[in-house]
Amino acid sequence: MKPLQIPMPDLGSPGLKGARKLDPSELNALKFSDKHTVLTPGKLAEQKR
Amino acid sequence: MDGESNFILSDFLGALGVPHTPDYTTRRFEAMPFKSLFGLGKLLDEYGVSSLGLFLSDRSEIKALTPPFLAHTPQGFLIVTSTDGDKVSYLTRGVAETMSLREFCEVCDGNVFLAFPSPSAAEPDYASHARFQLFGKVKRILFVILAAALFVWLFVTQGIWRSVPAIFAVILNCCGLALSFMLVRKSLRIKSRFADKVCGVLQKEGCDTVLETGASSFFGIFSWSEVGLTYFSVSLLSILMFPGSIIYVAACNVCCLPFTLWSIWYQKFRAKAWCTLCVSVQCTLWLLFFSYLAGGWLKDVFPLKPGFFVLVAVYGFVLLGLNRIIPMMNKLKR
Repeated sequence: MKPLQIPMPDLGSPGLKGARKLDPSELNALKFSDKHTVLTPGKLAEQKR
Repeated sequence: MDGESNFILSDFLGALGVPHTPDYTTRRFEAMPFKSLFGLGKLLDEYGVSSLGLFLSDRSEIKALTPPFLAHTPQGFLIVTSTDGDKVSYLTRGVAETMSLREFCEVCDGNVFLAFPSPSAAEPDYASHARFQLFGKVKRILFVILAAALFVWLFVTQGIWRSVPAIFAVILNCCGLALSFMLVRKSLRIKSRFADKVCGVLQKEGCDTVLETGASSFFGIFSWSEVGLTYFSVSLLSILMFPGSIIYVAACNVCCLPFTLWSIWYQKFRAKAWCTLCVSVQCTLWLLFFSYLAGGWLKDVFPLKPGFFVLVAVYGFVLLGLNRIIPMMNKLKR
């Protein structure tokens, strides 16, 4: 197994105009769930309703 | 923390091609002080993987990112593995799913987490963990081989193969044992993709819903999954080692049948959820009843002989033993 070499995204590029970095507090606000749900497309669509 | 953690880091590292072992990875994830992307970033540093969190105001800009990466939805994280054409492929608890880019843009809140493994990225002390994992696998394989060998030896030398109903009784007790084992693991929140797949047959997450109710245990003293594990293991060993005890095993089976009706009633009317594993156990108990009936072992049940009470005592002894051991295993796991 060899690690993938993933290029750093260019935040100034036309394809990522709407992108900005998340700061540590924003990263810390994105918490992992203790639920056991498999997030199928149907399950994800339920949240829209 | 047994929910997302059981899959996400291991699956993410797997998608990134970073050598790791599931046990160590899960333990490190569960020991994270910050159970968030911030904590994950710190943990990934230990693996030689740097990271970056982005907010995309235009979700369709995920096409400019190189998978794999994490995408956040209000229901949890997805591991996006491909963004070809107008389809987005992702992993969720180890299951591969696909949705359209349009649907993805609606469910993702714009927060994504990218990872950049260094060429030498790997789990700390990967070599020794991998060796330990290998030894664990060898032990498990040896255990299965020895169990199978003993099973075949008893099956043949005890003459069980001569009676079709006895063969069915043995097979059904094996099935019941496997189902009960999966139920015990589920109640201990030990991840099993196979058990998740089986549980999804009647109703997705039905097993979890039913196992979380108070009725999943006998007044909080014994869980029904422990009772099932006891029942099927003792029944199987009794038939294999002492074929003459099958009449007492058959009598005990009859005593279990009212429980099956209560279990189905409870799932339908109280829990309003179907636990596939539980329903399968009830079906197994009824199939066993018909096997014992077909073998003529229910004819001479009465009057109850001392052997019946000895068998009941063995059931009780094993149940009490399991009831002590299983919580210890749960504590060790934590």
